[in-house]
Amino acid sequence: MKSRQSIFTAILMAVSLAAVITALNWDFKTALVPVICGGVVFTLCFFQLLRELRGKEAKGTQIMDSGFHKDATDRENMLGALQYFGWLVGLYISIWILGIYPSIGLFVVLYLLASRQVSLVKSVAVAAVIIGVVYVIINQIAQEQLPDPLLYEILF
Amino acid sequence: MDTFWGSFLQLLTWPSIGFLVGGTLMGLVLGVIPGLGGITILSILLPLTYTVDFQYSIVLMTAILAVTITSDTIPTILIGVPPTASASATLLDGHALALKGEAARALGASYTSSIIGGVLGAICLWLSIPILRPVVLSFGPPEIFVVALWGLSMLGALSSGNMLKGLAAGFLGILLGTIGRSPTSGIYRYSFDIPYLIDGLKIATISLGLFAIPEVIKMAVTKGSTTEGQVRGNLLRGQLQGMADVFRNWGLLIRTSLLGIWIGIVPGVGSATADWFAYAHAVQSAKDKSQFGKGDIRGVIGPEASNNSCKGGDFIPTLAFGVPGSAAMSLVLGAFLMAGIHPGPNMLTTDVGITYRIIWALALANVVGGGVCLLFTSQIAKLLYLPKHYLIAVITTFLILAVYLGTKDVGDVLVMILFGVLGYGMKQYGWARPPLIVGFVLSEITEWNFVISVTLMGLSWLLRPMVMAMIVIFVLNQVWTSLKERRMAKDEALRRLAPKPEEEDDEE
Repeated sequence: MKSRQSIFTAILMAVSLAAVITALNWDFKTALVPVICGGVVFTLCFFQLLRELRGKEAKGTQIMDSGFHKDATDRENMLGALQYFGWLVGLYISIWILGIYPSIGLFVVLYLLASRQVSLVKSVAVAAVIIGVVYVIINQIAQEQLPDPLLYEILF
Repeated sequence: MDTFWGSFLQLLTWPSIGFLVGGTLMGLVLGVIPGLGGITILSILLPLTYTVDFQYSIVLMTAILAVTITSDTIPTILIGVPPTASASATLLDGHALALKGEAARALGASYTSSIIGGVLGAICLWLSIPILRPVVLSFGPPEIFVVALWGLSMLGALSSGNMLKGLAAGFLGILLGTIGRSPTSGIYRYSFDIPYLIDGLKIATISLGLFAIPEVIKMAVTKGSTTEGQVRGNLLRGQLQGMADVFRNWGLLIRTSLLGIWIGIVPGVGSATADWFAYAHAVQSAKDKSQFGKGDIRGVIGPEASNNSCKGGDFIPTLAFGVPGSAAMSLVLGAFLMAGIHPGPNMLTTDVGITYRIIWALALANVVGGGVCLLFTSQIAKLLYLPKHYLIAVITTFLILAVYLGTKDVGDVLVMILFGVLGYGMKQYGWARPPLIVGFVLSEITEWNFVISVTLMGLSWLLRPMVMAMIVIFVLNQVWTSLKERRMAKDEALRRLAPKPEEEDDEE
């Protein structure tokens, strides 16, 4: 857990350093805020990393955030997060290729089936209802014209 | 005065009352749907100005604008998904209260603060009419820069517990806000020739990623099948307790409402900022900060009062000068122009009837909207009895819809996922997320107004009366807050050192 925490801090440090290095190629006015802010983030993350490596992390750091569920272990939290991000990335790729309606339908059916608590018929029915609601919101309320997905562009 | 009361009575007659109630109900429903909110529906209703008499269409638009930010707290508190960026501050304590089984209390407090904040906003709009011009005219880039600085000074309050991480998150937010076209030179920063990044990142995408995705993950890893524990006991009693909490914290309610009005007056600073300013103020002014983020009712009261009162403030520059205070106000301004009415001094003379109509519509829509929400909370809360796999499927769909519908760019979905990863990491490793959002929101405002002030006035902008007055208030506030905190820390230390009664007995 602690090493993961330090890796997270180190990533933030690396990102801010990269931001400063990129900004140094710009003129003074353009680079002023990015260099100052990137520099401050880098410095603060550096001191934070030192604290973490020395094991002096302050107590009560989650005062503004309620943290993750106590009855799940770190491993379960991590696995749950990875699984959910997997679903999201799949959904993103699907929207890009197939468009929003088929992707939402596919996601809902597959997600409910994967939960192993809902039958195929029920999950298809739920997906149909959700697609109906999404259709009403996009077409009737917002009256938006959505861009064509990649597959449509390839085929037509 | 006759016109003022005359406008009220006119609003209560048919068909005005129909437009008011219809707009309120429409606003309440749309406020719950992620990705819609007031701006989308106003843009759809704008052509209505051509066909419907302006005195009715302005009532409809005002009512919608007034209440979308009242009902957006429902999904925020119950399932931890804010439909709009302006509800994300309420998520921290509102959803935490729901997880403790006090959803009804949080909702009761939220609606009551919204009603009172909204009505105070309308009253302030009414009171400010005679002094409208000098107030708005006094706001130039230097004054807006000082307001932004004041907001940034709250990063410390939002990161209590670990100042180092909080400040780093805040500055990271400012850094993220610099992505896209530089307001000072026009150069594209960190866009790496990717068209999506040219316009910069969007606040709604970032806040959904940072706050909503970690909540869904939390729901997914929670053992047990439902989240029904979030509404325990008697719902009505919970709501009444929430309402009582609001009156118990009346000082905070008034202060955050006034803060919201002030933020509303400042052009370009929207209700999402007012929300976080109010949250930071609630934390900063509290004696016991330990429960913030874990379910402190003051973390609901402050932001909710502030974002509703902000709408009253928003109308001030729009009506006085025809300068829209926010994106939604630019559509209202469009409606005015389409009806052939030019906002400005005439809004206080020949067209004062319309101004009063807006004021009354704003106040009444808040009361009706809050009242409807209070009445139907028990029905809405049943949403929580859905099994969690259904909830996750529905929430994910609406999260995607919320970000995709805004720009119709699939890149927004990817950015939301990336910020979801960042939000998960921050939550998991104890990094406060609110400072990041505050930094992001204030990034462009700070940079733009600072550069404009220095370019136009050198350092002489520091001598402008309004700037000096604001700096004095700002410094006094900081000194007072730090003195109060030191005194409280000293009292706490003394209390710990003092012998406990049983120890004294032992000695005897």
